Amino acid sequence: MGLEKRSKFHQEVVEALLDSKAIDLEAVGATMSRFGERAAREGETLAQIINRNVMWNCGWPGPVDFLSAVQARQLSE
Amino acid sequence: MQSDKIDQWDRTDLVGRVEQALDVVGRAVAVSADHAPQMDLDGGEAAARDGNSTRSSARPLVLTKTVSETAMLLRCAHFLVDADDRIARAVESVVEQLLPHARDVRVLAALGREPASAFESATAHIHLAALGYRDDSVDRLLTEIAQGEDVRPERLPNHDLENAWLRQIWSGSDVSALAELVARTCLARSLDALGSAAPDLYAFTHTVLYATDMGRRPFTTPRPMREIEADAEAALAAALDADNFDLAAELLWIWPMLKLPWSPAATFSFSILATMQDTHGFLPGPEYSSPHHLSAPKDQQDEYVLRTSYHATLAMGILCSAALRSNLVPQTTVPRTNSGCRGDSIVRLVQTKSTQPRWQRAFAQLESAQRWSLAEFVLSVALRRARATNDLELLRHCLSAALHRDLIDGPAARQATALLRRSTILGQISAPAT
Repeated sequence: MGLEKRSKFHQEVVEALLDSKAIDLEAVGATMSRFGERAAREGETLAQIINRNVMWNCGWPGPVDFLSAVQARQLSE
Repeated sequence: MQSDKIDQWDRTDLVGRVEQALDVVGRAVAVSADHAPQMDLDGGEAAARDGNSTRSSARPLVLTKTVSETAMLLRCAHFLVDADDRIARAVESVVEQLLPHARDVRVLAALGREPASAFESATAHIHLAALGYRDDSVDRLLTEIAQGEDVRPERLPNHDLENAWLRQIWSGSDVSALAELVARTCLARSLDALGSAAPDLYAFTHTVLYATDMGRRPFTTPRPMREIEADAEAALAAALDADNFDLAAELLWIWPMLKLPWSPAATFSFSILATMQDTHGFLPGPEYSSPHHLSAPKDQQDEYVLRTSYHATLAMGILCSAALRSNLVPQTTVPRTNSGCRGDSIVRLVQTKSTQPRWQRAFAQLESAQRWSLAEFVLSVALRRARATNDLELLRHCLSAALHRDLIDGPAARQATALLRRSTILGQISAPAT
């Protein structure tokens, strides 16, 4: 990052930190949890999020036929 | 920072990891071939339903996948056959095993019936042919498809790139067209450092692999290399915080394939993977459970390992092959930096997790000066955890700590700042009017 760009971004961070002080971040976080993605709502851990279906996510060769059977099973669950 | 030669990883050790990968994939192909007739009938449903079997605790191996991936390892590792007899013998053995599967009736039927995915179905054939194991009859069929009407459906850009990569290897055509495709992939824009999931990160690693032909050629990057590396480091933090060594191995090949010198975070991550591999005799995948493995009947233990961990061990083999080819061998120790005591203070931000991932235990063993060089890696973990739990107070606290320690250059800090700004607006909108 160039010096000028860096110092501009530095200022942006400072402002973001200052502006957020007037906000009830806990309440905003609760709203995000309530209406956020399924993982957040159901309290899944980061490990579960990043590890789900790992063997199939590395989809070589892609797009592949064998995924369809797995996906069909998941859809029916 | 230290960079003396005595800290370089032993090349013989890396060759040994390639050899181990070849052994493991050979066994995985054999097991998946045994199960192939049943898989053809029910797509693995019977194996998944068999509650009495230890094997059922892990997903069954699929022959088309193991064969294709093994062929990819061969493409990456084949250059070692002239330099190492053990690799030469292992490659020869795996090639003999693959040849009948690469061109068997399942593959030929897929080529005939599904021209849209013909080149993906012929992955193993294409890689084997490129290594000199040709089959003119399959090529005749592929020629018919390549010259026919282009009936491909709309696809993700990284799948288009994979298709073009395979066509290029098969036909030997000019690679310049690939640059246009790369510009449409995730390599052209920032990764979501805080919210990306495994499929996003696998797309990232695959795109690098296709664009560089596994590190065999340079390519025109759609944005500065240092930005791509920063994204790779943020992704590495996500993978290691989930103890996902499979994904971490794929992310690490970005360094040798892009000819990037190993960063402190990449060096640290490689040493964790190597230690895990040495402990187990394979690299455990995320579905692997040591108690499950050891409590399984003896005759099912090997298949359990293959089902859960063959892919991670294969990815480690590709990573080590790419490192050897590029002559960019990782260092054995995390470099030291003297830029202040920021590492220890940042790591306090991530000490609340109930189960401690492997990286955190390894991190605790480092000297202070080494921990300092990983401060940005730790910050990425902290910000990602804060975002995942919607703990915006923690996110703010992390950002504030990062600001004071001059750690706001990376994608995680940049995107956390944007999240904080959006949260502030959301708070202003939802606050009761006064």
